[in-house]
Amino acid sequence: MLKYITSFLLLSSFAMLGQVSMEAQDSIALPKDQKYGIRVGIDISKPVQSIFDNQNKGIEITADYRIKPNLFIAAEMGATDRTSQEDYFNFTTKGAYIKAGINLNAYKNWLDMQNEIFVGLRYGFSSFSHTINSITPNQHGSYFSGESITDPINYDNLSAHWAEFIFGIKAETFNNLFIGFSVSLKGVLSQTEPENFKNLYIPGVSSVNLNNNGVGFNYTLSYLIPFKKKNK
Amino acid sequence: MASKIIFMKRILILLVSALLAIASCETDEICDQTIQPTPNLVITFYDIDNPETRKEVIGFSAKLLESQEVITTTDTDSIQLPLDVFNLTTSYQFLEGETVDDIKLTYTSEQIFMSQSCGYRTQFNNLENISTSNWIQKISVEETTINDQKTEHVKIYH
Repeated sequence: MLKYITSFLLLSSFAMLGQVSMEAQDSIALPKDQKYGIRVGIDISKPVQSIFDNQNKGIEITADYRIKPNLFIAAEMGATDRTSQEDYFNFTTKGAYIKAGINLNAYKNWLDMQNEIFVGLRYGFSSFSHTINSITPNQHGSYFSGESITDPINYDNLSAHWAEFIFGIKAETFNNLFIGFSVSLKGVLSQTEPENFKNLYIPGVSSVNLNNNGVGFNYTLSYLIPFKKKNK
Repeated sequence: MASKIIFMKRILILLVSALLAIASCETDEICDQTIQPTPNLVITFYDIDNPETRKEVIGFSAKLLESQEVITTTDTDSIQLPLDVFNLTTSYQFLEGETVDDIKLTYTSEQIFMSQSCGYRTQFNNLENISTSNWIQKISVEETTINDQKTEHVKIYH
């Protein structure tokens, strides 16, 4: 079901992209100066989430650099400390990750506007650990009751590599200040499999489903430090 | 200006669809009820005079010693009983009619991961037993590792 919803959303997004560029062709494009520089930002959704859910702490900083009028190299770095409560157990994942890749802006701006509707690709690497805090064994019936088993089990030095497809928007609200939103679909390429457990959560990928995929979303606030202006 | 409004509209549509996408991504995996969780102990009853032959216990019942909870009452030649996953011993009273035998099972336990929604099941290792001998003549532990319910773990001769 999820697959269909996701593909439907992706398709409709592409349809929208097409529409945008067609409309842009009708307009008169005036040559204007374009800013080039490094843009740095943070994902504001993660600290906000930490306030409401103190079991779920995370931070992510983002950076991108424009190399061609519509092409940016982009990277994200982040860290996670998250406790997940499942039906029969509870575990904590801690780790850090880095992602690098490109964004392609598909939106034709008017004049000197710098808005973006972009698609991007990333390669991600994460290094992390899990701690199983407690287990309630899954058993038939309820003849016995007792405390959950609370001898922590540690899985250290785990890592994962993944590829990511991103779709998002960025809008310049004030001079050089951008707000952005993006959705990403991730596919785990390789991972260290813990013995007698599974990487149910990977920092940078978030919850990993049965097909080794994950979905992420970012709300970013970023600032462009312009180095130079180029006529596009 | 018109372009800016169109752009903002598109942003709104994107945000809404993205939120919907996220909402549909919450873990929806439910533990499949056909999975085998922690196995029960499989006990079969044999004839002491003819050790190859199964023999029914007439008026059998199994009671947990501590809670006095009756697990089963039936005429049977095999039963499946749960072991306490929170402790390393489980004590039962086995009755043939009014005759009582106490049986104390000791073991070590190990948690085996199944899946996110089903969690862990317990595997019991090093199974041993101590019992009284009123109607039970002999107990033989066939499997010291309890990992499934497909094999006979304990044979009781009477």
